[in-house]
Amino acid sequence: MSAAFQLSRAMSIARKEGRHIRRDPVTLAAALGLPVLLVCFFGFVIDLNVREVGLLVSDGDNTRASRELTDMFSASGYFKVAHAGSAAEATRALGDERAKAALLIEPEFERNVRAGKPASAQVLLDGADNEYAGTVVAYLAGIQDEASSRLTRAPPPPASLRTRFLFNPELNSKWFIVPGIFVIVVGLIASLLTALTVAREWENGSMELLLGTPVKPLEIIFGKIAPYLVLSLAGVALVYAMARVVFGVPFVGSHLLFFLATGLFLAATMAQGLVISVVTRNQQLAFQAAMNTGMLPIQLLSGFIFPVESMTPLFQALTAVIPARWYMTLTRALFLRAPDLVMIAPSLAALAALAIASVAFAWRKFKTDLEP
Amino acid sequence: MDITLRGFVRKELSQALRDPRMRGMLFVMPVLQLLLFGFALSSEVRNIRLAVVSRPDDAYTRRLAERFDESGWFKRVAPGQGDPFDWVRSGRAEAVLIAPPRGGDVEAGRGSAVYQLLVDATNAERARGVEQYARAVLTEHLRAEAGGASARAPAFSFSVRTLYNPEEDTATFLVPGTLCLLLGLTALTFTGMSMAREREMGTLETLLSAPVTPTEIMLGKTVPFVILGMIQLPLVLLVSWLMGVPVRAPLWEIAACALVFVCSAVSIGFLIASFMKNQQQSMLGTFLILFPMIQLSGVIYPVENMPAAIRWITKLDPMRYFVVLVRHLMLKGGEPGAVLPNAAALVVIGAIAWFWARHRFHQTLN
Repeated sequence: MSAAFQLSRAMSIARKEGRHIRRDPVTLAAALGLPVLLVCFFGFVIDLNVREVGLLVSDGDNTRASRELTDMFSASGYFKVAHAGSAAEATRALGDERAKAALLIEPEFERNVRAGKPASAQVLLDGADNEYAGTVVAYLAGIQDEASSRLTRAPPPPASLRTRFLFNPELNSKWFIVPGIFVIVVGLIASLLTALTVAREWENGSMELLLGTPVKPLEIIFGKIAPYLVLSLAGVALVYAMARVVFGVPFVGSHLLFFLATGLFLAATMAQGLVISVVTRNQQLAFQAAMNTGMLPIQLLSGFIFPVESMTPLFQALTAVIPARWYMTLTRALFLRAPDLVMIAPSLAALAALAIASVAFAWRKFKTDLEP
Repeated sequence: MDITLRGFVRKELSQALRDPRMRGMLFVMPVLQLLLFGFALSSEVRNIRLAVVSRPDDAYTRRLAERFDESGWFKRVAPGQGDPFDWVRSGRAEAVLIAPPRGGDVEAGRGSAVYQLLVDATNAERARGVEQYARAVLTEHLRAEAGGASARAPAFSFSVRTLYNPEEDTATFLVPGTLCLLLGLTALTFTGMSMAREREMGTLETLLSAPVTPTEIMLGKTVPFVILGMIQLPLVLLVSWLMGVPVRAPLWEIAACALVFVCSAVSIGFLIASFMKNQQQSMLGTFLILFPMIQLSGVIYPVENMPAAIRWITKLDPMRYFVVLVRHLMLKGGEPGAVLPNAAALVVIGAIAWFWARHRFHQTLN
């Protein structure tokens, strides 16, 4: 028995694992279909820009000014305007899910506006869906400015704001979502499938057999995770191609840094999957563990949808130990902002530290659990 | 309940509940997830890192900047020297407010001060929020600058009232959604795994040769998981209530809707299981179904924003109806006009899944 790590033996395990994957249609579908599904899903389906908010207008004034105000809502493109007979009817419609917002214009609206008295119109929002409520309030600010200048004869204010949206001037929410999908795809393949692979051998009892062969434990592990490494990289390439070609997201940063960050994230995630696999020795448990310690934090705490900046300080601190959070920051920055190495050094260093820690931990676990 | 069914229920429940890890899955994870959704996550725009560029002697801009600090939305950062663009590029600042070149004092005096606001629009949604808040701060600043007594209200304004969730509390919005996720997850995974395990271990054959009818087996493999799913409901409702999320509809209405949903989810789980040969396949298969089911349900992203074709697909998703039901029941208190159509949709989906699963199950037997 030779002491050194032999690539040929590891490769034969990798070939065996590759065959397992090819033979099993469901795993293959999960590994190859999922990245495509995920990109299409998040790319096409998820649109965080709120459009076509169902707005019921109860116009108690019915004058030129009030109609002009209603037109501003429909012209903004954010609202689908319908008319309600009375204020009470509009309010009721919010209660039984027929509308998301209501605009109530009081009688005397035009007279007040023309007379220069402070005029107002009431907007009711359905707070049960506060994703909506928040965004609609943001749209209202724009309409309010427009209405002040068009309906009233108030002089322009002495100071004004001119906003420049950098890196995504058209405020396309896909440019935010799509670069985040890397984290989800890599996390899924690298952590979920890696967690299942060694657990399956334990559960079937074939791990004992493998350990009994001249193949070293380290070679078994390398052989077992190599196909998933290939699959993960294929997933990354696929997401990258789709982001650029299908969604037209620009990539302005350095590809070398992107590759480096991806490598570090892969190492951290696969090490985590491996630890789960070695520790649980049971597929069902490995699946649950991978879902709860991998997928869940990746989706929720990485900043994919819910920004880290908006979390409470305690949870913000907690996200620091999640590799996905740093990788998320890095991919988004590299895609849209073109930072220098110095600018992203802190995130890169954090990711590297977590990757090293995970691999070291997996290594120790592996030594105690597998080595004779 | 007949004796065979009782036997099945006892067996499945004790199998699921005796394992401490399963108990953790059933009772600890839900609480953790609710806490996470309720307290940690929020899509609210907060803690915006703002840098201000102005001449040192510009008092007008200094007062404006102080108003930004006081608003509570912005956190001032001082990235030091260099190009403001680079501060945003490196992520040290999310927004930079640049005073007009001759200073706010001079230009506002002449009535034409234009402040430039650079906003990092990597996150488009957040960028929109940042702009909105900056405008609100400026409006308030102008009002205050116009002088205390003569301060006039803006000529036109909206008075906004948010119904049902006046504080726009994220927990109130996310917690009912989490309830749907939890019930769906338990019902679907446990049903699927149990069937796959019997099949993988070969005990399904034993079961079939035992003196029980196929319908009894099918009921025996579904009813326990309905019970298991429903066990979670009181716990989840209690935690939501403790977190301050209102529960406005009568509890029996919520329980009835939950029961209908759990039954359909269990039927779907049983249906998936009939396609799967072993546990690994079953897990991945469940995941492949559960994932779109969650994403299309409207728990995380609004269904109304999806493209028309996808919106049509969401009509097949039982969770979509359940989310509407739970949010409606908890926050608004249950108008029959909103509850009945959604509950009916759940019944239809559940019935289709059940009869399809039964058909497949009988086929396997022959």
